[in-house]
Amino acid sequence: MRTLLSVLLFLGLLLASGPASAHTMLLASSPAADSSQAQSPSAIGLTFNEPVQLLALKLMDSVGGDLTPATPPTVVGGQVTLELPKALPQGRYLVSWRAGSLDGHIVSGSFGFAVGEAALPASPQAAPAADSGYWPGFALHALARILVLLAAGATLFRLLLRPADALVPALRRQERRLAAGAFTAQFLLIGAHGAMRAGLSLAALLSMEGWRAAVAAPGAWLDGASLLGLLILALPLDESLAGRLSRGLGALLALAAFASSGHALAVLPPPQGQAVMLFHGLAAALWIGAFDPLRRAYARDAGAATSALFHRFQRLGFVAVAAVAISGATMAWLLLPRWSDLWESAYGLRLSAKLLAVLTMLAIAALNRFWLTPRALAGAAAMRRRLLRVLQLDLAVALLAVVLAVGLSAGPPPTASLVFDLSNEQYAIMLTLSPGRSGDNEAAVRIGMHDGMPIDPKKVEIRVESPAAGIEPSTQEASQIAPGLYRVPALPLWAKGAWKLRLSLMIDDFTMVDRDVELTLSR
Amino acid sequence: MRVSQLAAAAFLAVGAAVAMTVPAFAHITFENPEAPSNGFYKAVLRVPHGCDGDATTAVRIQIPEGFIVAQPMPKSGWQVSVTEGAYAKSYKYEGSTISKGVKEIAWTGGNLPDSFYDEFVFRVRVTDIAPGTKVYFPVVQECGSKTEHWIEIPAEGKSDDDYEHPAPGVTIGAPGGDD
Repeated sequence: MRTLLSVLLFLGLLLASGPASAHTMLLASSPAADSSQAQSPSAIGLTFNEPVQLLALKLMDSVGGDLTPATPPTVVGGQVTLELPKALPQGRYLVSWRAGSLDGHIVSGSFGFAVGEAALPASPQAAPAADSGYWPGFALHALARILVLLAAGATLFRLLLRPADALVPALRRQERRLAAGAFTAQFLLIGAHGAMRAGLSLAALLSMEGWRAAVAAPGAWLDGASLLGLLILALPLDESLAGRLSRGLGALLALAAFASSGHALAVLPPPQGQAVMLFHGLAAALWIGAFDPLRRAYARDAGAATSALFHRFQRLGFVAVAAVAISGATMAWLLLPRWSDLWESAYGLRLSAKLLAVLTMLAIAALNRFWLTPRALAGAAAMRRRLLRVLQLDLAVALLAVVLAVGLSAGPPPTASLVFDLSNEQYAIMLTLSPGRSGDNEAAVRIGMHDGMPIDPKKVEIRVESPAAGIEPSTQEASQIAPGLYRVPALPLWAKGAWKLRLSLMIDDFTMVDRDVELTLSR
Repeated sequence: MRVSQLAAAAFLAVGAAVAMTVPAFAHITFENPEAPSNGFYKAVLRVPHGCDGDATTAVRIQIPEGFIVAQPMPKSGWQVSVTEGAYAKSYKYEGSTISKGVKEIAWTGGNLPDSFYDEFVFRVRVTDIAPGTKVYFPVVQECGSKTEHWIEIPAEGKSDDDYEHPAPGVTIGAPGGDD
């Protein structure tokens, strides 16, 4: 009954409307457009200048995920309220809305806001500060990663592959030493990262400010879990089932630090990005952590027990190597716009160096597997010494690979740009979007006559919308940075899929040049 | 979703679809959408609202090529002025050749509140333009310090609804209207 009444009312108003009606406008919103909130808002509010019928309201995060709550918004006259039962984590968000006014006019739009961080993105990632703090920080980072991998890897090796009992005390001592070292390094690394985030030098490790910033960092809970895991590994637990399970859990927790930072997190939403990084770290630990225990096992006794151990490792090692390769290749594919970037961009070159080290490890592994190990186990004494040295070499190359991996964080991955030729008969117009994938894109517009002379319109605006993703249009004005060159720092292309862009150039008061382009963001 | 909610949503969707086919009441448009080829056209420019809530204080319209001897109708409370310029080509009219005339008309100094409606009238002669052609008159609406530019001309295959500030347009019709 109520439904029928509201329908009749709507249709009646529709038919009765005439050209004298006022124009529906969004007067205000809460949170305000492009504002930054310290806390997550408890509700989203839209205030219109007259009663409206709400046709659509969506809340999205900066990777295009739909966060619209299940309970529908309430509309009272011109006030729309959408309760947010779950608090929004730190990040940037987009509200997309569509409303019908009583005179039948449809209005729509979208706006962004941020929780706990700046509403507009920070200026493009600067190169790491070339101050004295860089190399010590880098060394600490590499040391922490190496020790965590060795500690966790050694523990997992012993738990999964059950080396000979006589070897166990020595291995356990080594694990606990590594875990203690890793704990110290990881602890200092967390403090160093906090100091860096707060903009302070490494001396801030001694003050509260750096540590407070460290605790507030997005990946802090992962780093904390890592510390807990390393603590467990350092404890003198016994060999009971409970003891072994605790140590296994400790090893896995220790690897959590691999998910707290990394460029993969910039291109994949947090759960997926963290999972890939964790997977990569775990596989690397299983592979690298085995070298020292294997060397000790073989140095002590080259008999049947060690032979069986090597065979057990070969199966596990194969899986670990494959896992490292797959997760690494996935991240490379996501971060590099083109394969040629591997040798054409600075980031690609650093990645190529790491890949070279990993390939060397693979070559050594193959050498071991197919030639050295069978002969050494068959008893040839010369082979025995060679195997021991090769295992040490393998470990050294592995540590180099980890250092090169840490070096990847020295700069951002290369960006691909999408370029569009929007010229018409009168003007040459080029639009460039960077990085050309879903997320914030910087837009550069170059306008000139066909003979090359730049022209300066009175106003340049870009309007973006994605009907496919349910994102209503939003418009931004470009600022002039040079004759004929205009820039929008961040277009919110926050979803994959089809987008419609309209570039509007107001040449003079009476002349507007509109150029439309449709594009698809595949990642 | 319950059935009644589903039904409401469906009706709402249908209502919205119907609403979208209704002319956009908020745009500046001509009352008579058709102008006769080789004849006189009384252009009534309808201004249904101001700029974002502010009162309209000036309306300027540019006369496109092919329309000659434009004459604005005076308006009480507003100052009318015309700007002359050269036409792109010469036209024969009443035995003489005309190559320049009114290219821009401006009504200034008025005050039309946002919630009120008014019309701005001028008369113009349509030259020999093929019937069926759609021609646009760019309009600048000033509200104090704010300005709205109704100057977007729909591209091939697009309509007024695809634009936020389309210029008012007329379709040229069959010859006639010589008076």
